[in-house]
Amino acid sequence: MVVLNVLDPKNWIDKYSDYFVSLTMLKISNKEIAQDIVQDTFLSALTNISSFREEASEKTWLLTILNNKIIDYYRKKDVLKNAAKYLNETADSFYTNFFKKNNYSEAHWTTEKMPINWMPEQEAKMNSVEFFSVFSVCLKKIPEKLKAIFIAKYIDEIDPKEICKENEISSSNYWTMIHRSKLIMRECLDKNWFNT
Amino acid sequence: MSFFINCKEATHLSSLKEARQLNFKQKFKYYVHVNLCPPCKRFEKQLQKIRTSILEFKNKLEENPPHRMSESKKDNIQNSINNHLNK
Repeated sequence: MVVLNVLDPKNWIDKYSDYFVSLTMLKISNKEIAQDIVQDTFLSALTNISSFREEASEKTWLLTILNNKIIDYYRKKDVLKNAAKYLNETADSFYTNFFKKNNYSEAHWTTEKMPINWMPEQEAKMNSVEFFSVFSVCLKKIPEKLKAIFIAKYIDEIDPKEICKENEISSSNYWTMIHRSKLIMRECLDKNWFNT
Repeated sequence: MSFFINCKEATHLSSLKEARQLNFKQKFKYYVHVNLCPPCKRFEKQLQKIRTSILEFKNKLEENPPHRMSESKKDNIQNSINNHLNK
């Protein structure tokens, strides 16, 4: 038996508004903007009710619209334009922060950025609301050029191939952007969550 | 060609490893490196932890949303919805 879903716009606010704002806050750490994007999602869903397929759930359908709005938000900033050039020009200044030449290696961790063990007590609390407010702060430290890619990979778990295609970036630039974002994110959490 | 890669290269490969995109040669070099280099091994482990935390957190967001939409904004949108439906 096929269960057909129906839309119930009268209850959208009650059912989804806080959830959607929280989800959006993970990716855009600005409450005003997050709220506006969620508002925009509901209103454009209303005017596109005819695009709803009854086999889909209401929530999944709304989430697709929400995700598209967030992608649009980043796309409007046109941050991915000239990504290759940006990566090239900033390579030296970026990596010398993290790695330096020593007797054994061309690029070994600098003392300051070298990962040390994380405290288990703090690690256990990494699924808490407190952790995610630190995470948001750290997300802001990732340069705009890299952030959308990091979010697509780590928060939305979109397949790398798809991200490259959608954003017209090469696979090698993609992995460079992920590499840099990870270095920044890890180090920021190190300082601000683990206080090392 | 050397078996040895440096920490910059190893941390780069760790992302490809996570996405199961290392070829045999890269895999070998990566494992040789992380077995000799505790910081790079930690880097991989800590990034995995960050990834699973995001997933766990996302899964409980719906039940326990940490942020709330302001009441005035909610009223606003609710009114627009009602108006639209009564058209």
